[in-house]
Amino acid sequence: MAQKKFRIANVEISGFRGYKDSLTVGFGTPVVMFFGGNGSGKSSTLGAIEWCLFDEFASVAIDKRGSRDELLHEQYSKANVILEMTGPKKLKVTRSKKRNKKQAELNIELDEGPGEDIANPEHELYSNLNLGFDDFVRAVYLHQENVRGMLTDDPVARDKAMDRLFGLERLRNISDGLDLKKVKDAIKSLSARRQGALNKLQSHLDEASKAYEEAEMKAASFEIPKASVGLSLANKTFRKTLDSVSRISKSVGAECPEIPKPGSHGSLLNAAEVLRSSVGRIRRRLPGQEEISSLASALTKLNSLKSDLANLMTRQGVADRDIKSFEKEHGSHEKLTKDLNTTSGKMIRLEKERNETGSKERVILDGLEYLQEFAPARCPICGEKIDADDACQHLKEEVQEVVGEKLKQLKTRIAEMQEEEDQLESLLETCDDLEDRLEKAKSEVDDILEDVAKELGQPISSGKKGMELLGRKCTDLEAQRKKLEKPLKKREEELQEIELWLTQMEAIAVALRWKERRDEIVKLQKEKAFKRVDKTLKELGKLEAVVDMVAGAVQIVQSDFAKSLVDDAMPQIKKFYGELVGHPYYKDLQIEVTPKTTRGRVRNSYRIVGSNPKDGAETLAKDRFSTGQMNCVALSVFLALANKGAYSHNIGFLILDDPSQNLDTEHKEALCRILARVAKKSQLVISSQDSEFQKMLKSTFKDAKAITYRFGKWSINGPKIKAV
Amino acid sequence: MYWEADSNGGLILTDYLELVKNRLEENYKDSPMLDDAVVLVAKAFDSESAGGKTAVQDILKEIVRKLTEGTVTELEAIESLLEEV
Repeated sequence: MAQKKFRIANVEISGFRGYKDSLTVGFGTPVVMFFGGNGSGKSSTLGAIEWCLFDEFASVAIDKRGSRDELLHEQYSKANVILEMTGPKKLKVTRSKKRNKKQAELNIELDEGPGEDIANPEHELYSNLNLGFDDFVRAVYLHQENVRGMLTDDPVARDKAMDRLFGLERLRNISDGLDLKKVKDAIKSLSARRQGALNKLQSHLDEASKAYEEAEMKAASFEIPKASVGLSLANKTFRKTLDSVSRISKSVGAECPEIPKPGSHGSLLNAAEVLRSSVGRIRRRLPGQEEISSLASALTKLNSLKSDLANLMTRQGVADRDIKSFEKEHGSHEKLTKDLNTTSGKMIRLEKERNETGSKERVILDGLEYLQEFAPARCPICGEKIDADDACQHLKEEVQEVVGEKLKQLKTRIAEMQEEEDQLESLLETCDDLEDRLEKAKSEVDDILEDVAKELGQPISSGKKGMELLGRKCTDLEAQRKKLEKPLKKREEELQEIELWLTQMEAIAVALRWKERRDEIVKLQKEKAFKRVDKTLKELGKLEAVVDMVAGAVQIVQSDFAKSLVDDAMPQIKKFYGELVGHPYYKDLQIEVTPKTTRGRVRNSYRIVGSNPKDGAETLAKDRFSTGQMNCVALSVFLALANKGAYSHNIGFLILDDPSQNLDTEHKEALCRILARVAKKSQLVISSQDSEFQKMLKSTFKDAKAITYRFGKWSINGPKIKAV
Repeated sequence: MYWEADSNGGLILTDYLELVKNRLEENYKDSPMLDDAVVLVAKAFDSESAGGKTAVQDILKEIVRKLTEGTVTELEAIESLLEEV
């Protein structure tokens, strides 16, 4: 009798992950067990089934955007997996992928014949199996990674593991991938730049408007009404200015400028500049103008000489007065020199007298010393005893007193003479300075008088005479200038009027320049680019809303789906939990799903609660459950979902990859009991690296039709698999 | 009820895309943006199949890039003009 659901008959693998040469693994029994250590190839073998059916390999994070060559054996250029299944019909599925090719090829063969006739093999396969990859993960294949996530302390990782157990990873990926931040950032950045540009424009506009207003006011100060500020008035003014300049230039024989009619503020300013130069040229070419300039220059020079001479004469007068005043007080230079010589002579004599007195004193004292030492004890004449020592000592003291007094007087006199000499020397120094100053002043007056004489063309006898002649000459030149200037006055008035017109032209040009700039800025404000920015911002806003809509819908589906699964499977989850965990107190289990905002995204949050049905006490599983007990929760969920799903899809096998992680002996025994029941309904494919669990499985299925594959240490040639 | 499986046997093949589309149509039936949302969600599912979460992020990046690309260039031109004025 044909089976109702598909079971695996065998898998042929080559070039896939650790598999190199083609290897066929037979699955022809209700129970297939893979035993071996970590990295021996068990998960790759199970993953080959998943990849073959769905082109997915959930056990390892593979960047799907690339060519996914991580799926290939490093020495192979092609991965190939052939999965043969029996059931309602024979189904042979072949999936292959070449190196550097992203797309994998699928071929299926049914009872009816080879797959070439099947237009859409993917669709045909799903129609036969009646389930998709998400259902497969939820109800057929328990990945060890899904369980592992449940055993961590990280609540986000646990929620993610629960989502994976419920086959919701795709929705989670989409929900996470629809990250509004990018859109929001783009809106923020574009808005900021738009506003920045508008602010800058406004600032420029304010500046230009203000400057335009000031230029208009300045024009008004030159009798140009605001309303008349424009190129038309500027051109009229230009025309009459040019006519006048041309006429006068012609009359004085100056070059007549040719200037085109200004069409802008720039050419208006240029025209004004050229006309100003012309006015300057006219002035220089006016008759008598050169003589006036020459007279003015001579006058300047003479006035300067006059001023310098007056200053130097004043300086000479002061020096002369100072020296006279000094002589009156201290005497002349000759007298001071004579006094100094007299004082010096006196000093020399006093010094000599002091030296001589000192010498005499020494001689007398030496004589007395001699007498004191060598005088006879008795008088050679009277024979009377002589006390020479006392007498000499007395005489010495008298001599020292007399001479000392003399020397003191001499010293005082010498000091007085010295002071007098110092005073005289100082006065002589001052007298020298004053004489030098006077000499210098005289010399300077002489020099400038030479210049004056040269300028006036006649010798000058004294400063006073020089001043008088210079004054006379200046008055004369001034009179000549006035005489020459009189006929030029009318022409000058004409030129000044032209200069006023030029100023008016310039004022209009400046006002026009600011007006033009203001208009340019106003035009920029109306640029199409701003409209386009607004349009883009609107589109980004719309995108933001659309992304929000989609993300919201995805999150609702994700949440509703999880809730629906939990509601539907909860009785069975509780049953498996009770059997697996056998908790002495928290005998019951509740799982609540609530949407929770984490890191800016709404995700499913699973609240797993252990409870006591008798007293109603509750505990959060994360707070009190061991990792083994958490694995039991994961297993309960998977087994319940697998059991529910068995009603509808067409897959008659169940894959459990390393389900005994962190379980203690009692949990493992309970799991074996459950698996024994499962094996009666479905083909059971189970892998384990846990030697205790392996023994239990062997014992559990010792009477069943089971095949055990022992996976040896993997080598570059592929896994070493031995059926035992 | 999303899970249609029951004891009478139902379709378990979960088509999340259809579910999300249905949800969008239900929630935003009068929205002028519904069509765009349906297109975006289809793109998101395609991208997820082809490259997971990162690929979904990439389509959003690409849409933003396409929307802003020309505008940013024009804005830069205006900013440059503003420097000259």
